[in-house]
Amino acid sequence: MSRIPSRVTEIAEAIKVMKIRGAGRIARAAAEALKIAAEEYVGPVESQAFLDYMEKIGSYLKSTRPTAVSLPNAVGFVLLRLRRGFEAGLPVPKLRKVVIDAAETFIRNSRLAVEIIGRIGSKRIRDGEVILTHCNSSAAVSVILHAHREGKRIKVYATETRPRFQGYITYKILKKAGVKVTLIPDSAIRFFMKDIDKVVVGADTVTANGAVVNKIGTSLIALAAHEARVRVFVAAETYKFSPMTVLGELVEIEERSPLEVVSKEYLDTNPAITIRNPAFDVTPPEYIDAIITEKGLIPPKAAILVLREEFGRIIEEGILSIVEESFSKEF
Amino acid sequence: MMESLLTKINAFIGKVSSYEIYSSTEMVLEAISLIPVIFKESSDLKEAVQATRYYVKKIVKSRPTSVMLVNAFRRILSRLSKELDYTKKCARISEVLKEEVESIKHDVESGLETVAYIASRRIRDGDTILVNSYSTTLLKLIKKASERMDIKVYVVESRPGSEGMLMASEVSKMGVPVTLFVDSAVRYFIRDVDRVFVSSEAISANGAVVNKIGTSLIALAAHEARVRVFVTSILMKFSPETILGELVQIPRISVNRISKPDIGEEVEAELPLFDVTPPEYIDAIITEKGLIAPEAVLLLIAELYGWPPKFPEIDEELKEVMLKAGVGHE
Repeated sequence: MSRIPSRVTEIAEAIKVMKIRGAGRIARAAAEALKIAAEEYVGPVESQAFLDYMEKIGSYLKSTRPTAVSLPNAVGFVLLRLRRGFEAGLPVPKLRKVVIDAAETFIRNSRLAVEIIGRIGSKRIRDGEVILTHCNSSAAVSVILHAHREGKRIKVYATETRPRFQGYITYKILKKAGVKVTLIPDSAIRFFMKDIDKVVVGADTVTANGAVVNKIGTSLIALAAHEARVRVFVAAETYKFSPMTVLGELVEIEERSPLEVVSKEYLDTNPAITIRNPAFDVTPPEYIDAIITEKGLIPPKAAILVLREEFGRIIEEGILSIVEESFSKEF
Repeated sequence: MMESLLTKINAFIGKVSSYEIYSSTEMVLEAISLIPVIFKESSDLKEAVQATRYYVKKIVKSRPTSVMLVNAFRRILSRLSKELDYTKKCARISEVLKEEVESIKHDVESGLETVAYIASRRIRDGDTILVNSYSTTLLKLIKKASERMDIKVYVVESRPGSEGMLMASEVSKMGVPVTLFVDSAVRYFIRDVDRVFVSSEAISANGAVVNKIGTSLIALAAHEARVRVFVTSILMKFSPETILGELVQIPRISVNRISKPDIGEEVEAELPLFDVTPPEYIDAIITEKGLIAPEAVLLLIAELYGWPPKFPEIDEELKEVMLKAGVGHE
């Protein structure tokens, strides 16, 4: 079997160490990696060999981050089209083109989705409002930037977002665009909530029941907003909705290295301290007013509608494969 | 004022206003210890009372949230005022004030012991307790509880000061299993927690608790998960002023004084140092006189200061001291 091209492993590595981060960026990077893999394929001319090779790359890419559903969805989007082409009996050069086209379509749609979400979401923001955002989400930033460009005089509070301080990236982007922005520590959310009109955050994964998996701290923000009756909006492209959760699967919350939280020196001098570093948490649908997707603004509990629309086929396939698995175990 | 004394005073005020001393109790005890020193090192009474006024006004202003600071200085000044009726000798006054400082220290320490003891009785074998920031009372409580049973301690990092790192380190040194995580992970972990214990900077008349920023967020998450929240506080942290409608002031720092990733430019940040937890989210306040519901704070204040409460303002006491020392206002 063909080896994985080095440019693909470079992308996978960058996703793993979070040089590429944010669900949208990860998804686009994965699609790009699949495209590169197809372009650089030098293996046997049999279609089966090419399919196996691409499936292997797909699994490899999916293994880099467990929580972000955008990653398997991006890979699924491309490989589904490849499998259809394979079933139709296309030769390798044609299949190669199918992969390249699918990857390019995904990337284009993804970029467009962020833009459309910005346009839709900004309609919910009024002149003079104060917005709170968490971490660094391109979809949430897009909403804020659209509102700003429409001439609404908004003020933004950005949480610094421990442990990795992604809030500083949001700060920088908004500052550069001329938005009035202030950083606050994550612990000060409830202190500032009374001054805030709307919360706009991104999402890593939206589950079948409308719960939102996002950067650790999001559920705490949503809770504090709920207490203060501040509206919470989640900006999420449809490829962040998780089809597997329809089948009862739980979203795995990734725990990252303690070194993101404390220094090596602290760990060495305090060997008995356990550092826990969950990267995400789950916000229940009750604390979310609406999810802003590129297809429109939906109440969180209508997430299943989006899943049906976007992944109907994948759901069927998922159910089939689960049924097959249990059968093979029984006999 | 003597140069060396002024330097000493200003250096200490600098330390207090930059929040270099993590524990509010330790800060107050250090702060009052400087008063006898002022009387010892001043060349005459006039210089001593002027230095005292300068110091007290500055330090109270630099830590507006600390009710204990005000209450402790109220006690020192009242002793000073009484003493001035008998003697005008600085050396003698310094001795007397030193005794008063020791007496306050003793009261505080025995108070903390009692608070820690009572609080530790609310912990059950096998409990996981969650704490934030750095607090000597909570350390005492954990020590007491861990001597009798197996407990686990969850510590929140407590940005922006990250005092939780020191707290975790101290707990770990006691041989108690400790887990540290960032502030935003509180809701993620709260369901593993049996009881939340937090310290306090000040307690207001309606039972609201002023404490390190993030406390109210922890209390909210605990309330949502139906986890009990206990506040430890010696009576010296109860604010009689709030009965008269006074609000406890929350200082904010608007420059980013804390470690941050280098992004090559200045950032605008707002760092409130304390927040207010409403009484609804607090199950009990544990004092040296016993465990009370937050709504019953008023009772204790009435016992301490009478009803309606009578207590001299710091400014009034300073004025009286100046008058007795024969120093005019300039």
